[in-house]
Amino acid sequence: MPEPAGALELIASQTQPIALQAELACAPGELLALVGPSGSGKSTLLRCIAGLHSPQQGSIRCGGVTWYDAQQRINLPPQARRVGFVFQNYSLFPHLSAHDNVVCALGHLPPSQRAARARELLAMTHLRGLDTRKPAQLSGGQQQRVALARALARDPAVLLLDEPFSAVDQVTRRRLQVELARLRSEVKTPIVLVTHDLDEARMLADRMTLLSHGRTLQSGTPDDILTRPASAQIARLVELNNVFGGTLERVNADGSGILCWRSHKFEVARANGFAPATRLSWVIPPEDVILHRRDRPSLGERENPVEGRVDDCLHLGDATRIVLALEGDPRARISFSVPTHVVRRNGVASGETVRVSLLASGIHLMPAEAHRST
Amino acid sequence: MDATALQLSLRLAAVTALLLVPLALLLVRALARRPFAARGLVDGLVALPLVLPPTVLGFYLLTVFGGQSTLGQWYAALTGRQLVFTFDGLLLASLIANIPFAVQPIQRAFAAIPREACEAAWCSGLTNWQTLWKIELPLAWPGILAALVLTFTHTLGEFGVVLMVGGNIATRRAPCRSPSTTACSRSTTGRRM
Repeated sequence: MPEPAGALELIASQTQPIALQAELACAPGELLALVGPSGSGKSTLLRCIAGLHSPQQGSIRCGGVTWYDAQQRINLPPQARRVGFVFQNYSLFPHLSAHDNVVCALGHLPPSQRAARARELLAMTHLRGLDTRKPAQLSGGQQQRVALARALARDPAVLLLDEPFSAVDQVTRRRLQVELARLRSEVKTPIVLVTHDLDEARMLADRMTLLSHGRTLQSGTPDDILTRPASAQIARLVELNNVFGGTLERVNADGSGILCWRSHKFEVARANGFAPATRLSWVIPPEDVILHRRDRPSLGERENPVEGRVDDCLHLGDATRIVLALEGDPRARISFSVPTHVVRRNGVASGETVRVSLLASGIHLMPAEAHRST
Repeated sequence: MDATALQLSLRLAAVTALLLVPLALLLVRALARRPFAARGLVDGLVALPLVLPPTVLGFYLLTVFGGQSTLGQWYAALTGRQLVFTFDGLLLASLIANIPFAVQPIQRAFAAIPREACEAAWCSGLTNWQTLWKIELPLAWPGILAALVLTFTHTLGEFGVVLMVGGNIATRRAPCRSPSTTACSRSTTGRRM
């Protein structure tokens, strides 16, 4: 019988072969997204948890059991760790049928129960009737499901998913993502999902940990990280490109403040504990940049208005990405997205002058960058 | 053609293939598990029988197996038989001459197995032994089969080594005769030591 699920905790550091300095935690039933650019060490951390790689320093504990401890020289082999691992390319056994692939991971059950349990798992992952097919006879999405069924077969103490949706087409990806979201109600173990897709993380994860160059930079809810990054570096990593430098001029009693940026003075809803006259970085997510309508001005336009020339106007289907160059400084560019029909109705085009509001609630203040000024 | 000679050739080829392929499997596994610094040296040694012309290799083996050599004397003391010009010597020479034909296909076959397939097996709870049995051997099977066929056919067709180590057995011991040696015996009898 599986032992009661417990939390996963990992601390890992090494200098070779890639530098790592990571710390992460995942509660039972929680889905933690490990997000970062390619080569940031996401997969290496997953391999550390599975026992396929040993960091030089650190410890890994799951459900109260120490799987790895560099100081105490504990290093359980993968076979003793009870992980369910869905590899990026699924790594199904090509010579075995879907059913036998799953049976391979049922070694903990008596032989008489294995076939029935394998059928149950294949049914749970919507693969009924495909038991006898070899991996080569299955579509990408079906292979992914077999890999998931095989990972779940072991009654894992932790489920590890290494970019499980990267090798399937968009439609299949959406469907598999919905299936994973549903599956979560049945799986009570920690789930660690490696992805470089921020939308995927936002959609599926309870918490996310951001990784860059082997370092965990910030952990929190996806909303937290994607709208309130802890530093300008993190802001850029999560594709918030409207990062600027500025000075906090005043902090009001209610916690709001006035931000001084070039010739502008912006209201800021939260001063984030920064003292007045502090140099700092600030960021505004694109969804908090509101385009003013030309024909019908509204009250909201008094909120942090900025005027600029449209430098780039790129239609991307339903949405249009606009880059606004502010008067007087070519480096001061704000990018945001608006629905394409709004662009058409307002006659927004390259070279036109438009006005936008930067919502006070969207402006997020961060410590100043040491070596960068914008 | 002499039926006994064909029989001997087939027997030598079969025994060589059946003995050598499992040994090659062990060697390949040992090399794969521990990537040690001298691995290149072992790879070179494995390929050595390919570099030498078969008659030269045969001559060296004849020297090493001969009644004057340590190995020859040790073998004679142990079994009461000599190594050269007997089936035992022929088999040993054949095993050595065929090492690259058995090892290399198996080595390639194991190298072609994606590392992730083994890792997936370990993560599924399979022990190293179960991984070898259930995953690696079935996936490497075409290579193992190729090694068996190559070793068998190469032994069947091998001439130079057999000529040297098997010698002109035809005139000395009836059962130990291969078509190659028989065919050549007339021309080599005079020059044999």
